[in-house]
Amino acid sequence: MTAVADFFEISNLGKRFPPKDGMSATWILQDMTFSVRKGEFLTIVGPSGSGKSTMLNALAQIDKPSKGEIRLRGQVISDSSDRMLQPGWNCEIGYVTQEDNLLPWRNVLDNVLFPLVVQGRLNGETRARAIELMAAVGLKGFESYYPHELSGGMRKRVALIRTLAYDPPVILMDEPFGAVDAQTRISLQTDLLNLWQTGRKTIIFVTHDIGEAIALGDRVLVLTRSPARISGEFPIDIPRPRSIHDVFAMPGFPAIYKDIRSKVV
Amino acid sequence: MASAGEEYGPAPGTGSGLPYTSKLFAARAALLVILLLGWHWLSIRLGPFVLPDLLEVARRLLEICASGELLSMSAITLGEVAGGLILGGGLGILLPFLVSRSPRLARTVEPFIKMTMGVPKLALSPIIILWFGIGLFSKIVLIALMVFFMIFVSTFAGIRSADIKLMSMCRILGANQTRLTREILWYSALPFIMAAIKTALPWAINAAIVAEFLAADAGLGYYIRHAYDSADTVGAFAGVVAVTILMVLIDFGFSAFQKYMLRWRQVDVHAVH
Repeated sequence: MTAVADFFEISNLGKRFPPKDGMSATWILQDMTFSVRKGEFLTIVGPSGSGKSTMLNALAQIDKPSKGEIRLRGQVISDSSDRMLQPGWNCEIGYVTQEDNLLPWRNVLDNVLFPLVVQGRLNGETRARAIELMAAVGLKGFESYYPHELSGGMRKRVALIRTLAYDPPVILMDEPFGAVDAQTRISLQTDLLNLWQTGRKTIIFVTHDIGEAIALGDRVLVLTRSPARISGEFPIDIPRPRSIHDVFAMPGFPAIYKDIRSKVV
Repeated sequence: MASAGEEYGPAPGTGSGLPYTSKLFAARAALLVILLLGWHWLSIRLGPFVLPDLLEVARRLLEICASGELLSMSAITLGEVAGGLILGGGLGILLPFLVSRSPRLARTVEPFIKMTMGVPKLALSPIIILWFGIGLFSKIVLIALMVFFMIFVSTFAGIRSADIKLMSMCRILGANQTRLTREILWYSALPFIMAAIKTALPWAINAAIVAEFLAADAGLGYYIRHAYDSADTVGAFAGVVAVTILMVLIDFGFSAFQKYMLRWRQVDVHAVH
């Protein structure tokens, strides 16, 4: 076994898109090196359009890096060579995207159970766990609703539970609570914190909201504007379990907010 | 917490839903009465041989209804339509799924499919009868030809409409290629397939009637042809009215089926179906 510190490692990750309309190829990501410990909640904050989604797409293996390596438990799982992309790396990397990407023709329960079904892992135990998770975020009673019948916040919950239910060791989250109103957002953040508190998954959570990054994370990485590079790293010492409302009132909060703010350009 | 539906108040127009629907049906009934009166008036003006009286046609319809003739003729015509739809529609749905497995193959065959769409299939009906005889099979072939292209092109477009982000997400969740086809491609194509079948149904019935018109010994088209041959205008009109009613009923039935199959979709409450 490799050291726990090396659980998920990203080294020298770079991404550029091919030249287009006479424009030369521009680097979207450059020289990104960071690692995530097992069970760590890492948040990454960066301005809109800084390539946060591009980075997560590379980590999820939807997209190939132009440079660098991605390692899980010490094993290289993606690099710029022409190895085949394996989205989700055999269900070891979960991805909660900005859009909920639910299957519109499946009801809530069938959406949540979908990964378990296609992975051939649906049994009494996994089913019970999925139903328990749904109940924990208030989805009980909505099992037979179709996605279009739900509010934005409820759809986000379904997307979140769908990934948690099959229990991937690493979960990537791309501004999953971006497009909802402030109240719903706080309640979603609270749900996520509670679920993480009990499960302690390894999470990489990307956001443009500094407050959210501090409130949720064990550690915050700051990205610069395009090409995205890491411009700062901030451990967050706020004790857990945290409550979203209390976090903002913590004595250390304004100072760290200001620090991070100064790094986000 | 329980926020489903929080964004949706009562949809506009549904608050007064019942009165609106009954008004709509009243207007439709009024229009029907006007049309029937117009027919009656025209038949008086033009004489019964050019346009037979409405009541005569209705009486004939009741007659063939009571004798069971209408039912057996309809069954034959509908049997042809069903056979043609299963053959043409089945291939029209299956082939795009096979072809879309290879984008290169898809690009190769696409212009040919589009070209063959332009072939006037009804004009080929005498040849088809020559090849396949005057029985059930030649009708099935003609109807299949008629509906195949419509359903093929729509299914193809439906498969292409599949959301690439949803596909990526499904792969992350562990779906293999077969599962992606069954799940994403199939359901993305389904609304297109349903709409295509709905459009193809009247064409299929028309093709059956034309084929029976040309050469047959049974069916509604044969009945109409036979009536013309014996200068029985009332019979011809009774046949045409019977086909029309049949078409309306089939369309109604299929709409309900379509609605059920696509129940997972958000429907526009203002759309009149």
